[in-house]
Amino acid sequence: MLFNSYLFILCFFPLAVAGYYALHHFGKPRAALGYLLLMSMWFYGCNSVKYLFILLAGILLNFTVVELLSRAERALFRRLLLAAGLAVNLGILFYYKYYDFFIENINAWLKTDYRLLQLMLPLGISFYTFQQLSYVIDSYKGESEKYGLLEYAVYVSFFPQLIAGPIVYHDELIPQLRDEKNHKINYENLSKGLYAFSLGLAKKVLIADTLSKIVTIGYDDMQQIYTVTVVIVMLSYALQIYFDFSGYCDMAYGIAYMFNVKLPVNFNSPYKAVSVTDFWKRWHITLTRFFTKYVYIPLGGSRKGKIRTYVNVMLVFLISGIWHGANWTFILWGVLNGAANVLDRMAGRFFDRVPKIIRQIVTFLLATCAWSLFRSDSIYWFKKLWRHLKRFRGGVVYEPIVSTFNNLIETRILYRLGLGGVIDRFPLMPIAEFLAILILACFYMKNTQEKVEQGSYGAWRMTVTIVLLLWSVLSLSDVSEFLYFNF
Amino acid sequence: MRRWFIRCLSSSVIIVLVMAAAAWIIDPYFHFHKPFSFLSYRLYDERYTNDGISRHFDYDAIITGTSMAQNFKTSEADELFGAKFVKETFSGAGFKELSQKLTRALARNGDLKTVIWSVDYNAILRDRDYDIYEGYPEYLYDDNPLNDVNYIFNKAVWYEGILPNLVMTLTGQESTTMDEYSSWDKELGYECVMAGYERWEERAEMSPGLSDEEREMVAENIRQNLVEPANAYPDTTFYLFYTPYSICYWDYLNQEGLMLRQLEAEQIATELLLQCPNVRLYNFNDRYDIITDFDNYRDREHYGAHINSRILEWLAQGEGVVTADNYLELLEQEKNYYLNYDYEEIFNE
Repeated sequence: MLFNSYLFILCFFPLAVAGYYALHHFGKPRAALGYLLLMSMWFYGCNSVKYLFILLAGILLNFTVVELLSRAERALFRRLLLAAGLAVNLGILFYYKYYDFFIENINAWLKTDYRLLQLMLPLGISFYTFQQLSYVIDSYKGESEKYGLLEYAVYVSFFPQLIAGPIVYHDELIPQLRDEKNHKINYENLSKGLYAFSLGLAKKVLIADTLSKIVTIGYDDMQQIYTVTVVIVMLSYALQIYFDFSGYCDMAYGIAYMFNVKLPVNFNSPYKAVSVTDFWKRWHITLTRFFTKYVYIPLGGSRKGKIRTYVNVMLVFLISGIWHGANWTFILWGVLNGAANVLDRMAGRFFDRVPKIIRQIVTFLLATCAWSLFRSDSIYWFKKLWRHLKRFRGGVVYEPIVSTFNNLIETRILYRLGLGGVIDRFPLMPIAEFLAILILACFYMKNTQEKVEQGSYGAWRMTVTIVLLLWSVLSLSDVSEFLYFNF
Repeated sequence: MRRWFIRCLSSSVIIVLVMAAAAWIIDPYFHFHKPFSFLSYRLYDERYTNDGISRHFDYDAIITGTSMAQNFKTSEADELFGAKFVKETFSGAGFKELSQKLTRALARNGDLKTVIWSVDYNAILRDRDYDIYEGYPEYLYDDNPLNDVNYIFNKAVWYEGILPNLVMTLTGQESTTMDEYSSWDKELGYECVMAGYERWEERAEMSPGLSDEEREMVAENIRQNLVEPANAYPDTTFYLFYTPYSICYWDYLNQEGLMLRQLEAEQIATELLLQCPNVRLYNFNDRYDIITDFDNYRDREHYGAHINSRILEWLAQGEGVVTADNYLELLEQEKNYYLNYDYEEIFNE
């Protein structure tokens, strides 16, 4: 189930919140947790019942490993258990996510013909595997309390963060669920949560899904797009991925808030970053901190000299690239980001004299270029995109992109409201303004968490919340383009 | 904060309920009920509206087909056939889509005894499952009430259907008539036809005919999509006609060496359709007066509305009807005429 669906908004979510507080109200905290678990199972099982079993098996397995760890005393046995825990988690992840990629490359290099599995990737497996790993590793180190099975299962499967993060640690979530203060309805949290949810939903449905139309046409018809269109498509994708992912995280933040749970901030206005290093402190923060805690620091971090630090940074970004997907594009993307981080560290404070806004724009453009690789189906298509970027061809803009955008209901309403003449004369205007406004918003607007915590909850905010919710709900079932042939 | 949250939530819930009620009452695609007499309706998106017409309109005869049938006037058909017609056309549809949607109407409405179907001549030689339309509003076509939420809370439905109907009603405008529904009125003539025709400069060698697989493909296409529904509803009369295209279409077949293939496909289709006792098959490819006059055409294939009117008359009068006795002779005539036509003359005008 997705947050941006009728089922979730109109049925599942109200049921989940109401049931949870009702059970707490009647003094049944365990039943409330059990209810939350059941609802999370429904949430996950909606997409595939088969993969629900993988999730449940993973939970049981990791719980058992930790249980055994807590009883084992011999260091060797503990190490073996840790190795087994890591192997099982990473093994499942490898099997579903990377096996085919691995075999494809073996087949290509060794001219073999091993069969591919062609499995569908279980939703959110990269996220919940990492959460389980954190619990196993922390338990091995003795840095974790032991939880009951129900608490642990709720932690891993808590539906707001189950399929797209943020990657929450057990010691962040479980204490909040335990805290009795949080078992009562808190209207402040409900209000803040609802507001955050409406902002996130609008970011996802109204902005990211609109941008996705431009991006899809651009990447599908890459042969026919040149400089100006390529720039539009690349910018659109940089904005799409941000509004999509951060919108989803804002929704998660809002939903969890309504359960009196505060999830960690995952995006802190990343396009305000003034360097690549700064960008990674703001983008997908919970992933960066996971890699820092469980990869970078165990490798020695920055304590073993400069060269070793650079190697460690490169390794972290290489792993991050692989984590993002089984394709050479992601690996190269990780390496490029790693290299940029290393160069940034080498430069030290050298660029500090450059005005902030220039550094900000350069960082945004660097990220945009890197995202164009992230979105490409293969390195071949990435190179093709960049070749087309260099072909100016009179500055033409690919017509289907313009007409798709100008056919959006919102643009058609603007057209009717008196902008028709301008749009007819400058058909590119709506799309250009849309992108410009979004870029400015990324540069200057507060992030969702700041907005939610600050300002007064008055009539204006209520209007914004209601309008965004309704407009987004009305946009969930976007009619695909009508195909008109000759007529 | 308590008041803020309760107000915000209750306002949202009230708006949602009011919208649901409005969508149910106005129901622009007739999904929930038949049109109310106190409302005005804009009949517009075919693929959104047609299933509602099948479900809730009062009719015993139907006109279906592609853009070649859009200009039929049901009022004329009512008079000629003494029936109550509705029009359900699907722009650019393949046979399969038309057949499936027609079968839904037949299954729902036991009174449906007359079907007029424009059989696209250029679609005979195609795979039986040919279909290029994606993004169907499936929620309108199934009987699952839960996914009607896609219909009620859908900005496109509000913008294209609910709000226009509301405005039409409030400003006292009449509903779109069945005659007007999905019809088009565009300029006809030589210039228009030529503007959209890209003729091969070199004439290709004439292909001798179809392969065994292609013959089987044509037969399957006709069997699955036309013969099967006709056999399933033996009490319904199916008036089927091959759409008469302009001479430019025949030039294209001639220039690209495809004519013998097309004629062979026509023969296979004809022989299969003639075996159905409730099918009345018509062929107007011998109406050379119409076909060679560009003033009747918008482009290579599409004829203007006045031809639709004449076709209705011919269907009612039995003119151009194909029988087991005459079809071979007709085919031979067709072949002689179009193979020997002086096509260069068209381009010397």
